[in-house]
Amino acid sequence: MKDSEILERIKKGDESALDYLYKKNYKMMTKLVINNNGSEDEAKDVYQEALIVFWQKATSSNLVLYSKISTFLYSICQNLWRKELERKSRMSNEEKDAEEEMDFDRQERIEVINRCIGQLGETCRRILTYYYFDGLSMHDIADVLGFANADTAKTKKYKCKKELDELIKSKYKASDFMD
Amino acid sequence: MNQEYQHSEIIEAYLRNNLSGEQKNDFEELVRQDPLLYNEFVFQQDIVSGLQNHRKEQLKSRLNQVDVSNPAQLGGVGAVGMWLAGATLAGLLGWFAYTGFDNTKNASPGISVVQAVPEQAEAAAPKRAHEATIEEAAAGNTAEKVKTPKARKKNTIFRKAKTPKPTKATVAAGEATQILPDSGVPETPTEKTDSDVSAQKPPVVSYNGKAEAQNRLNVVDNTNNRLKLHYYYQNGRIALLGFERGYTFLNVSAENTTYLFYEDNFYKLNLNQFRPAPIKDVLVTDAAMIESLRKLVEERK
Repeated sequence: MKDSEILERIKKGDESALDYLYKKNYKMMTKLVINNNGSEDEAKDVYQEALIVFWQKATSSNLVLYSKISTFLYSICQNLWRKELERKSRMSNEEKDAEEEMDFDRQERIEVINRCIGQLGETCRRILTYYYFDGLSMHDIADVLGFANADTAKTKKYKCKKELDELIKSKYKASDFMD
Repeated sequence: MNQEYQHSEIIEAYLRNNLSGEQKNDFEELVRQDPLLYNEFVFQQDIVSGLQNHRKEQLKSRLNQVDVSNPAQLGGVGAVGMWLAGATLAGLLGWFAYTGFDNTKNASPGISVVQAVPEQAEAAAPKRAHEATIEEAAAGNTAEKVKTPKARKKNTIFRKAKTPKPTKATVAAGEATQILPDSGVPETPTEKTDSDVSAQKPPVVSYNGKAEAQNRLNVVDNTNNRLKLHYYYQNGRIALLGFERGYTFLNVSAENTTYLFYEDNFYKLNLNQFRPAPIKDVLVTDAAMIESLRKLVEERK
């Protein structure tokens, strides 16, 4: 499959094209990390992160590639791994403790939110994640989910978001969200 | 209420990076001055972050399911693939030598012979770009694959030759059918003898059970009257809009095509249809094809 076709399909939110891309470049991308002091798990993590960055860029903006997708992915992997190595070397034990402590509260909040997201219906979950993560337009969301038009998608999105807000608020007082 | 709505609109625009530089600064200033707005902003920020993490995890978990052990299966020309493609070609040439190249007058029009092609052989030839191919490749399926255009072409010629008895290729195709893992599928002859091959006969089609199993229905939505009897593909799965019960899918191995049987009509679905389209656009009108498909439906009952 040609790069242009892969890109077009990903832009439309076709996840099977992402699978294809993942499999196709797996060895080359993970080798980059493994050959630079990374473990296999780290290599896999970095590659998946890179691929998701690519996915998000492709779905949310009018990405135009002037190189092969593999070249683009390779440079994302390089950057991510370089940042990870810098983070590792920079971080003293004290800093690590501080970070873990700071994350604890936030983690708790995120857990409540995650539970509420899990309680949403499938359609609502899809609308909201397509909108807030994939960055799909209302028109694309309408297409993907088979809604009549962008206005219908917008109304559904509004209702779903409201439902989620209320669900979370019912479990968490607003004041708890203050840092 | 109205103010709350306005706040949520501007917070959302900020979080989605849809504000201009000036609007962004104004908003940040507003957040600094208004504790209630600040609370709401932090609240929304966490929700958006939660939704983003959820989606990210969903995509990662999807990627973790992908079998990465043999990327050559995706379409690269591997050594094994080359060898198998060569072997297939040699076999076909040998068969031609055995049966002769004439006797093509009784050729049956239409669809080529069904023959399971080893995945490596498929990988050696240009792939058809559609979702089912990717899904199968990603899932690492090997037993039953899309035929290569090259093999299909050969087999079309192959069928045109009149044979006095079941040929070697017939046996080979029969064996291929038997090894398909889909035990619930009735075994169908994949090659015809001379008594079957005639210009008067309808095209030969056969049911591709495994592919049919993969045609999982993504969604059937009856809620929108404007999209009555529409369909589209999403992530390799079919979505039907405005259908009542009573639809049947038929995967025809010979073309690697999915037909929809609904209210006594057949529709040839287009795998590259990513937006809802009316099924009447893909109504099958060819009488011979309809007859073949109808037989297939009867066989399956």
